[in-house]
Amino acid sequence: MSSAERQSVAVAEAAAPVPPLDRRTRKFTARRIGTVPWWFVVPALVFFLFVVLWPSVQGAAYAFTNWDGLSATKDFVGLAQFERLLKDPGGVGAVVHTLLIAFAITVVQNLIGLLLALGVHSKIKSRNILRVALFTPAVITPVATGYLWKYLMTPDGAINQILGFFGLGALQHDWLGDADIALWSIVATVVWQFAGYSMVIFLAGLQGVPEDVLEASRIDGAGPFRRFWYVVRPELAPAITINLMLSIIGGLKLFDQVWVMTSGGPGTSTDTMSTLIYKNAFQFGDFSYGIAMALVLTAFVAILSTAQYKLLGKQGGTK
Amino acid sequence: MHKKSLLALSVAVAAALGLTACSGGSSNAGAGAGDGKTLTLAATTNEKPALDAVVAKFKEQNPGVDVKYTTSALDQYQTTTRTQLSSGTAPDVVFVWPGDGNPMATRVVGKAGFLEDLSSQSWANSFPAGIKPVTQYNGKTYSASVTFSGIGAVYNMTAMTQAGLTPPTTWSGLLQFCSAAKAKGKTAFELGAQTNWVTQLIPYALTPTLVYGPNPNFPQDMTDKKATFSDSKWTDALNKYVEMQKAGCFQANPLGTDYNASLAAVAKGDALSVVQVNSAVAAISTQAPKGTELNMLPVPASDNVADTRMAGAAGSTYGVNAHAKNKDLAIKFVNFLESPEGMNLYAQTNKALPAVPNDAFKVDPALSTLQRYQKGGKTDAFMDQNWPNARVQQTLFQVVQDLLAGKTDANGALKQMDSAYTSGS
Repeated sequence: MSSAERQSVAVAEAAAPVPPLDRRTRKFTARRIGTVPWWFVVPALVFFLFVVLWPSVQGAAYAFTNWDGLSATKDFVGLAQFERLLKDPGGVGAVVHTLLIAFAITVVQNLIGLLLALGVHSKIKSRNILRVALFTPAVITPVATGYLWKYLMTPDGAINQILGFFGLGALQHDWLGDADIALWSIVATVVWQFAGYSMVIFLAGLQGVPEDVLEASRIDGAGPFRRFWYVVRPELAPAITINLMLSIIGGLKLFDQVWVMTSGGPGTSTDTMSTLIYKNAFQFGDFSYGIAMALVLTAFVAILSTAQYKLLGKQGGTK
Repeated sequence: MHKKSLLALSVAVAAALGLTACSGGSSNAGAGAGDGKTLTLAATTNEKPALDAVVAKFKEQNPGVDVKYTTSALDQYQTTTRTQLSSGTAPDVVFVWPGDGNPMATRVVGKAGFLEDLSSQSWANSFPAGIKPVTQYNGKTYSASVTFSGIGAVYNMTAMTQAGLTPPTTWSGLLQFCSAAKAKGKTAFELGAQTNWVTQLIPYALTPTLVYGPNPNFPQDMTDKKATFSDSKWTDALNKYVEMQKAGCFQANPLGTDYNASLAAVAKGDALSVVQVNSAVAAISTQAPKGTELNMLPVPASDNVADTRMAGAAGSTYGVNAHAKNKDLAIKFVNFLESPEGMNLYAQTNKALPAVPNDAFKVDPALSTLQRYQKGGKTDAFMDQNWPNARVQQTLFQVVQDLLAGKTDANGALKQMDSAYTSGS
């Protein structure tokens, strides 16, 4: 099993509704947890502190300097790099593109993922093959996916050829070269890759929906939509929460596919905060400004994912 | 805060903060601690064929010496090598860009103190006037240019003959050539503008005739704030770019076509030419049917043939890491590269010209016009080599794409470049 598959299984298990523990089991679990010595966590904590947290804090400090990423000297400039971001028209555009991508991916990917999950949760014979086939794109590296779709989306590529073959020439486009649709072409690529990932998480949730409750609602005369809305949806709440959080965070941080497919172009029409961070830090030699942008992105991810988690938590999305 | 939300927040913060963890400072770790027999070197992927040849020759002339070299794609090379330099782990010899305007340019890296002063080497004063300044910072030589590169229209002469067309020599002739090619069902100039750096090549091919030839002091005038892009003939260059697009000189979707696809179209004969750097000659040759004749010629920008100039400048350039483990060996290698033997071998393999013209070099027929312009002093350095920061060139990439997409005009585009120029002055 690949690491991506293992991760998916772990997430799926987490998303599945947890049956209530009886009193004996709860006591036993509490006693076991209570007896675990606290210092068991120390090695991992020390590793996290010195390998992740401390270098990250050190790196973040450069956002308050004018270091170019190479020179031995640097000056403290306070919040000047953050002020630049507010005045940077490219920065504002990148923030808008990032939010559009995150919103579109979150909505479309989860909607398609849910529909796929409902489809392969049925009793059709080929459901296992379909599950594997639909999940497969998620195990391909995003860079490889980007190159693949970049090739398919060229003006003479397979997509336009197929459209032409079926007499749909009017729908042919320069998918990545047209500044008005390039952003959505990238979104489509990401959705294609990760809709199967969302599907697996929804599927785990669906498998926990009690059959007897569904049967009872059917006898009471509830149609498919009412059964989904009043019986299935509440049981899927944890899966929805996890899927939304993963897709929001993934959308906000999106870099690989954008860089491979358009590098932020044409012009700046697909620049995201991540591509702008990369350009400033590594192409312009404006390292401190790049770090300032990274900190703002950090704040974006933290605020949006926490707000979303809290919101869904209040609606019973967490257990 | 709920345990799960605290965990989610921690993960999100750690993930995004990871982006900020790439930092460092200067270090002398390991400087001069080498064995004197193993040379390390890093360059971009384009240089590999030439490096294979010169390294083999260098090892043949220096028995017992080993040369370990790595090559990587341009973006990756710049990122990695800057980090290695600042952390004291860079190889002994590093590929650098001539002049300025690039994160790994000679003046940027030399100013930061990571390049060895090579002014005392015998070759340091032998460069032609167009090359010498871009190997220097503050009057000292910090890099060694090995080749001379040019930008021009690379014609598939076999396809041209079949179409009954000849390369244009004037601007009016160029527009007529575009119409004639279109009438024959061919693209006159295939443009791979989806690849960022390709977008700059047509302005680079036009401005020597329009801007830098008539006013050789233009780069200095810009430095002295006496000139700007938007108040110069750069406006004509970008307007001519748009005129070419309107005249049907390019294929239907230049912004959806990348570098590789543009060369493939010329190799197949679907397009008659492509405005490119000289290395494209070798790349097209490998894809084209055997016997295909190629020729690299200037892109005319005026109707007076005598005014036409080409962009030609220092190409492959190397510097010695100031903290190299095997500094003596590194200097010895660079000296070999600067010898006529090393320079000619390198240029021959990479389909370029030697940085210092010499009679022993046998020029590829496709590059004979570029050589003639080089020897005749009718070339001007690539513009970015004299720009004060990398942002100007990146802005050019972006505004040309906007220009081709109809999202801006020449004046708006050049005002953005002026803004990028002053932001780093």
